[in-house]
Amino acid sequence: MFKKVLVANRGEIAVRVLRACEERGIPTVAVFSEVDRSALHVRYADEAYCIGPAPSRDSYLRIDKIIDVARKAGVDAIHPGYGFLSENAAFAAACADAGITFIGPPPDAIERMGDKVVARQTVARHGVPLVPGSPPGLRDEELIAFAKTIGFPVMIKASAGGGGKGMRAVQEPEQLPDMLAAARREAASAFGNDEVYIEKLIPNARHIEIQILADSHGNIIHLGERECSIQRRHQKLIEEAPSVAVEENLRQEMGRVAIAAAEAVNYVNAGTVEFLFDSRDNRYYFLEMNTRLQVEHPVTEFVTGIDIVKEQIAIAAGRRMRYRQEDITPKGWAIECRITAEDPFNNFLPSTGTVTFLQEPTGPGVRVESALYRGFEVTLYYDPMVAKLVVWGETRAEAILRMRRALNEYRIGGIKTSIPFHQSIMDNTEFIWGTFDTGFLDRLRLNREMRRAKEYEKIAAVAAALVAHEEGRKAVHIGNAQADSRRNLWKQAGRIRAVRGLW
Amino acid sequence: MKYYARVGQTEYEIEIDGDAVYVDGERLEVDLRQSGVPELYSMLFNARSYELLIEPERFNYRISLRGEHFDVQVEDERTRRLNAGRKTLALPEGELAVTAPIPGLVVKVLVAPGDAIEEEQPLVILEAMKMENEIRAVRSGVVKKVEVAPGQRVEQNGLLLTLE
Repeated sequence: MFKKVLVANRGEIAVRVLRACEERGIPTVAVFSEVDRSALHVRYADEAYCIGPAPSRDSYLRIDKIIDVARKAGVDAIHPGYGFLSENAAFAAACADAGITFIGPPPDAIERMGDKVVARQTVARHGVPLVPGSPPGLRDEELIAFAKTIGFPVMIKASAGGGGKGMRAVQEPEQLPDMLAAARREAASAFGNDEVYIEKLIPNARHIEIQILADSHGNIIHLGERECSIQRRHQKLIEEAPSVAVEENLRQEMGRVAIAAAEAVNYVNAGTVEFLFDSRDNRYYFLEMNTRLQVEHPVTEFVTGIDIVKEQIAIAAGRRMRYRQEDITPKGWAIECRITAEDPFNNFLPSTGTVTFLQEPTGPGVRVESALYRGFEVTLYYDPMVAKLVVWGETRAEAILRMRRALNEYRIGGIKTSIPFHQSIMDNTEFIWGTFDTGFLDRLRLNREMRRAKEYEKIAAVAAALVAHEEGRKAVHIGNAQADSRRNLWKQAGRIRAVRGLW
Repeated sequence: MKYYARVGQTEYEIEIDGDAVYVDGERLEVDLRQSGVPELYSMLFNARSYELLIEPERFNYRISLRGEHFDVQVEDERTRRLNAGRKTLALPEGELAVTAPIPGLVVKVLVAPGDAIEEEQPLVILEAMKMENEIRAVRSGVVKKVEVAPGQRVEQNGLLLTLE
């Protein structure tokens, strides 16, 4: 096993990986940007080193600085988490050059799956079904011409994509030039590469993905599917395992196809093969392979009982996998809600600020993966996801009820979060029936649907008035205690408020 | 003592008389207690139990209730009288300043002076947290002046454009 592991990431995922290392008895090293000095991942690690200023290109994306720290701290392995350098083949290669194990797939597998166009060509040769899409390296005019040949609607995707960045659904031909420009800008900003391609958009499809694990001894298994159709702007917001749309024989078939896709690139470590699933005819199409741990891995962990991060570490250390395919029997139902610092009542605009209060839900079947603490600063530098709330239930109905309960218990002060959005989804009949697809949130017309309960508004108004009244009474009390009994008590109340910054 | 609590577009008249609380004239059974943590309260509202996070902010209270946030502006009778005397408007009547709700980089301005716009129409694209965010019109109107250009950084509450 490894002597010491560096976690090249921040936020909840860095904490998650540190915990796995700790449970394996491996000392840990954190890296952090200047604004993250007090972050949980810094405090939970055994050692921590600053790698630069807040913008990620100057810190968490600096391969040279991270390798320097790894050498200085004497680590023999690096876990990249998700995002940042997790799917960067150059980083995996730099680790190898420095004699450090990259806890993830080989650089060649990252490279071939990382370029979405090359990935499509590679897996197609292994019999994996594909959505019709454009060849690589086309200019805008060529993409526009190509889109006409496959017909609208189409989907623009960043070749180096992920996380919904650089993706645009285009309904009409005249929208395409502007959408291409926007997708290229976003891709360049997120990935440093503005290459995009076009795929046929399959309406009413579900997003189903298969988690796989592969060791370096030629063993490869799948851990069943995750349903990730609840997306906003192609970013997943709610994930669950299993999927209501997938029956056992289809699960095994998609599992075999996912394994074939992984074998096509000699894959080792944890990975996920994403499919679009058309429930009208039970057909599925390869979307892409994520060559890393994913945000939604806890739902699979809940239903399979496997600690995917610990397994990743063991595989990277050259161990043989402890599980065979026949050992994997999903049990119960798990749901994850991504808690983001965004205002669901205002178009999901990012909400920055200091977390002034925090009370996370607990209780049976509840797991919170979080980087939050009281005093935590949500800045504009990083992704708005600040925590994940994951629940397990024996049935899907129990999991939904448990999620409702846990969301009701969650208190985060100082920033706006996506919690009310998740509450409204847990109450939505289409979600409860499980008949949704990737177009679900667009149909909801979020801003119109997200209406606050009038009763709650009234309760909030009364509570505020009572607190204001109490503050006034305290001011009166202070006034009475003073010698000058004729002092204007309302002025006193005003002073209290002034001191508090209210006036 | 009478208070006026405004949440969004709705105003509630709340009278507190000893233990009695009247909301718009209707008597309610209300009991509010601190939980031991300064901002966390337990409220019994007509015997229904709620946990509330109440944080004082400038001129208002931010209240979190079952995951939902409410910004409540409270005035007592006297303050209301005083404020009525000193209210001034930053802009001439009928004009609306569209400001940046978050700091960010202006990627694109989607409207020009003279454009007639609808409620909910995207006006400006602002990049923050690595995503492009659409700033939309809160009401319909005509663009009077555009104050920003693509590539420009804006601070929170920075003026983007004015509508009339």
